[in-house]
Amino acid sequence: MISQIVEKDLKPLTVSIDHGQYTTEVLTKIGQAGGFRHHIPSLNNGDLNLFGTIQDMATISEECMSTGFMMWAQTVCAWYIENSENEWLKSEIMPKMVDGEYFGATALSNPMKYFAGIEDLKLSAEETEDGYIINGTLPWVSNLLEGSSNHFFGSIFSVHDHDKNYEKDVMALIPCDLEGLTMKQMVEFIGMEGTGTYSLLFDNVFLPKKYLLADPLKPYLEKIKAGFILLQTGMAAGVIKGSINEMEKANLTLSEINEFLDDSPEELKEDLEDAIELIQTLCEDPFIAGQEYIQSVLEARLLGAEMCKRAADSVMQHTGAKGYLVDAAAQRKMREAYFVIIVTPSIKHLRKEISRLEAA
Amino acid sequence: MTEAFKKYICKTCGLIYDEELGDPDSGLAPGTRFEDIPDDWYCPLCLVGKSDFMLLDSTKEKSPSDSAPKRKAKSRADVLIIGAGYAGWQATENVRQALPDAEISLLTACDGTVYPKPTLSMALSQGRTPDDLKETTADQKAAELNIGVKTLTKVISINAQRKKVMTTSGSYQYDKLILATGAKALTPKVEGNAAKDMLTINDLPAYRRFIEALKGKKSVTLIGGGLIATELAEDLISQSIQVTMVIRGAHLMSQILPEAISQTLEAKLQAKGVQFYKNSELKEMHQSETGYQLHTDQGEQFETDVVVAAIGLAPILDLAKKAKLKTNIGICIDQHCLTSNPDIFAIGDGVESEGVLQAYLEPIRRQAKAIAAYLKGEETHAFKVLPSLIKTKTPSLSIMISPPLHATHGQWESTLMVGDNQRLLYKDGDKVSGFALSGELVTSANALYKELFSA
Repeated sequence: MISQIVEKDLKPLTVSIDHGQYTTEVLTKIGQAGGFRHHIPSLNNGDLNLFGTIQDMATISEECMSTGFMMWAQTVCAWYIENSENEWLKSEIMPKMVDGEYFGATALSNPMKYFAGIEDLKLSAEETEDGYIINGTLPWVSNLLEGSSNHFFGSIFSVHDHDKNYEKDVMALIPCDLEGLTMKQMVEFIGMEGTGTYSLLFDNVFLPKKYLLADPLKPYLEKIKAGFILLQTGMAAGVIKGSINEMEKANLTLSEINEFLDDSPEELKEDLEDAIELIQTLCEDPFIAGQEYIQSVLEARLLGAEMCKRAADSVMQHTGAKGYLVDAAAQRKMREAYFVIIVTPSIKHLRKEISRLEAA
Repeated sequence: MTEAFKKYICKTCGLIYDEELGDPDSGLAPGTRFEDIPDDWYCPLCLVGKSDFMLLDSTKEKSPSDSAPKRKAKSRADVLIIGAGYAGWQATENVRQALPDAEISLLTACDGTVYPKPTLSMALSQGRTPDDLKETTADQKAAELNIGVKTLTKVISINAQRKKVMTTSGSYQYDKLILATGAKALTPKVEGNAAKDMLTINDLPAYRRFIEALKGKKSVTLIGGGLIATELAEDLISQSIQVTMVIRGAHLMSQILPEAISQTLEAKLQAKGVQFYKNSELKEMHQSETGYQLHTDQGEQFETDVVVAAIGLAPILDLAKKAKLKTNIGICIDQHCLTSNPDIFAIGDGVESEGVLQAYLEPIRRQAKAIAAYLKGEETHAFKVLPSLIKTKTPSLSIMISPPLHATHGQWESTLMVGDNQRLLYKDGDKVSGFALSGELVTSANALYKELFSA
């Protein structure tokens, strides 16, 4: 099903998405085919199949990782709701998100860096009886549409009282059509342009309490963390597979000279199979408590990013000048692969976190 | 005189605001001081606020650390060793000797520094710092043995079918694999807001942290009363540090030492100021004004500056399990140190042989010889579990023990006792399966060991 969507619906759009076209058309098709459902037990006959979602995301990313990234945003947003205790979000928003009628996003890059001691939290809010008045800015949130009532993103903000005294951090789902929320596309990226990426300015944005995902925050974050990170490996697996495909194509004519290169498609393929096997094992139970499991998850994610580095280099070298052409698949794969390397948690962030866990 | 213009960097996107240039696009004229920028100004690149900028200090650039010539690990090895503790290096040395032409590689998650591990419980009295303990770097040792080494590289999985190991920086193929992944120091489960500050000492980096924590401190509490805890107590009192020991058992080293000798040792340590809480377990560890406040399950409460747990080791089984090797408490090995997989050996504190775990150096040396001989195709040097002969590093009272391998049915019998000089035998029926000597009698230990165990 998903592979049919890739052939019929995604492939014709890949280049224009890479150039900046944002479309929800493909996402809707994936949702209808059940691609956002595997890891949401309440909408999947009680079955939690994180690996199923990762596999579908890999299939999409193999062709177009921009779409794979939006799929990650979508599926991780549904993951937030599923693991919350907010029945209203679960009945009113989540089913439509899983079906591809609503679109989900995540603004947890800054909070993740905040919890890793890299940055301060950028959003803060004053609590009122029935909601929060939020101020601040968030750089770079993807899979959004300006003013859309069908687009939502999960975010974390600090809450203070009337006298500006810090009280706590909470997490909520935020719709894109709130008053006072300005969305701006400030910059142009070298890849992932068609992913609906915006900077968000909050100017006294009122968010009703029914959108609350977590308070207290800490135990909730512990719960969603492994799933959040593991889901990202779908992008890595897909872009590596896509690179291997391009390398194999190149080898049809260049195999004799390509033998002198370091990472052959066969080697990468074998390593990818091993990595996928590892990920599958880790997906069996994403709620295991304790440092050992989360460290393994971070290592698997790091492995994905490090392999992306090898794939990005190797796909360019295998394809040679042909891969250096504008709109060549090889250089698109290279740019996409670098996204896996630098998106939160980036290789440096992962290494920092793993060494912190190891020292503990 | 005007102050020089400064630069500020956005912590989120790296944009630099240069006071000299200003940001005319958002209405800041050249020369606008950062502090004069209105608070509602935002980063022109990523929209974060002014508070997310920090002063760019050009003098603070870090210099890269000096690097020794690297001995790169090949992606394919005849013999691949994982782990660079004593066991890993012993295995490497012996295998190199047995197979002069083999391609040997060593992978390790640590920095691979060669150091004498037993010294960790006596370095203070020797006046040696953690840096003094370094013998060679991994690269030097690798050059000496003509092997490849990759440090700071954690193996995250083993594919025994394809005979390769996965690290985050690539995979390595092997013909034969040696696991020397060791054991990790256990910590007791303790409540309280400072429980995470409890230290353990099982390798050089951990020892370095301990020495850092000890700087300027006057008292240390040791959790545990085994060999390592006792040796650490001796080492600490030699530096006039007040030592408290919280011991779960009824006396020191109760698993390997007869009570008669422990009592003598305890009396000597007590005379030097060591405070014992016996039959006691630490329950809570809280921050206090000067250090930590500790609570035991026996209701004892006291203050201390540093807390070190030395309650034992647990074999690291993670990789062995991923390779589907047979494990029990440790990784199970046979007389050639082979695991349940015919291409994978295991050695060191993480292994279990004939149901016995021995975290001492001596068996590791014999294990390394067994592996090397087997790889060479010789049947010599088969490994067998023997009682260990241990000299405790306790200057207060000389002790040598050979604890029984299975201390279940027998008991200690005193055969000689003249003051501090004692000899006890562990008897299981008529059979002597262990002994303990103290004082001047330790001089007879080697002879006694030979008499009893080398037939």
